[in-house]
Amino acid sequence: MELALDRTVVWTGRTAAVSAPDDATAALDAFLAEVGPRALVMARVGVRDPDEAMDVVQDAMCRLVTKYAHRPPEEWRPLLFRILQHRIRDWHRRRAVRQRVTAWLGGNDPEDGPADPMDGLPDPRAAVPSDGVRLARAGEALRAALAGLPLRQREAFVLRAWEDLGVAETAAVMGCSEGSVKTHYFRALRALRAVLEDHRP
Amino acid sequence: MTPEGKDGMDPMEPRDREVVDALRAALDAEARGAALSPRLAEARRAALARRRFPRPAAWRVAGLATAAAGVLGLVLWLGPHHGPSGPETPGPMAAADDLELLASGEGVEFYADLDFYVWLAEDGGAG
Repeated sequence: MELALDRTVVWTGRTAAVSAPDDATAALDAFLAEVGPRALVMARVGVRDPDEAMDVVQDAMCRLVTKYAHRPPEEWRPLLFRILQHRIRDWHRRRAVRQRVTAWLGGNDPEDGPADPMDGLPDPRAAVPSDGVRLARAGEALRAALAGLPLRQREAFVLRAWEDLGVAETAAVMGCSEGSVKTHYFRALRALRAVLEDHRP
Repeated sequence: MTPEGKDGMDPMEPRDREVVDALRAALDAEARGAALSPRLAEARRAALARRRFPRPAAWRVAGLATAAAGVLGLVLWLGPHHGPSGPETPGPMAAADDLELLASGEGVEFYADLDFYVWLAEDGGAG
């Protein structure tokens, strides 16, 4: 794990103790160093564009640092994810507006339309791979299928299944009811299950 | 840990467990790769550089200074020389004189026997 500021303060999950401004900055740095890569993956899943994802993550980090750094460290994680999800949604709204304007002007947005979840999937009938290869391919296929899910399903699935957030925490991050979280999660799981079925030997 | 059976969610079926495990592995691998991204480290540094520390507001500092000045003025005004009755007590100027005496190099005994030295000087001049 990379530690910045040449300090030995390590983000210890949800129990980091901070006492002075320097310590707080070091703890915040360690936290961002640990959570940043996961946030970047979430953003990639969310916006499907590596450069845009990086911008979204940087924006979310800046927002956390400038607005919420004074909050207890155990709150940073859900706060960062919440900011991130807001930023991803904002990105989609802006993109939708841009597409409408482009369509009105008669142009074609190369990113028109939702991505086909089946794009980029390896052909499961191409060969008879080993178990390891098959699992890796299944992972790639699921990753691609995840990116093709509706935004809210993606959010619910990533937060619940990957970040291990509880239903209540996920609902708080997504800004919706717990029932909605369960529904989105279930639908995502059902769609992904179908993809995995295609990769069974 | 996976979300099965907690928070009111139904226990996960084995095939769902497979989906979750495969995706977690894929996303973990992607995150390990992302951790090496120089742009991400740069983004983190840029975010931290924007950190602002809370500073006391100007009005608060001015209020404290005014309050301190008021308290000092009150103490000087209601000092011992303005006491109700009783023997005359030294005022602020007298207190400053006392400080000067204590700060000087003379021994305290000299000042304790000051009356004697005054008498000696007068008596010696007369005699």
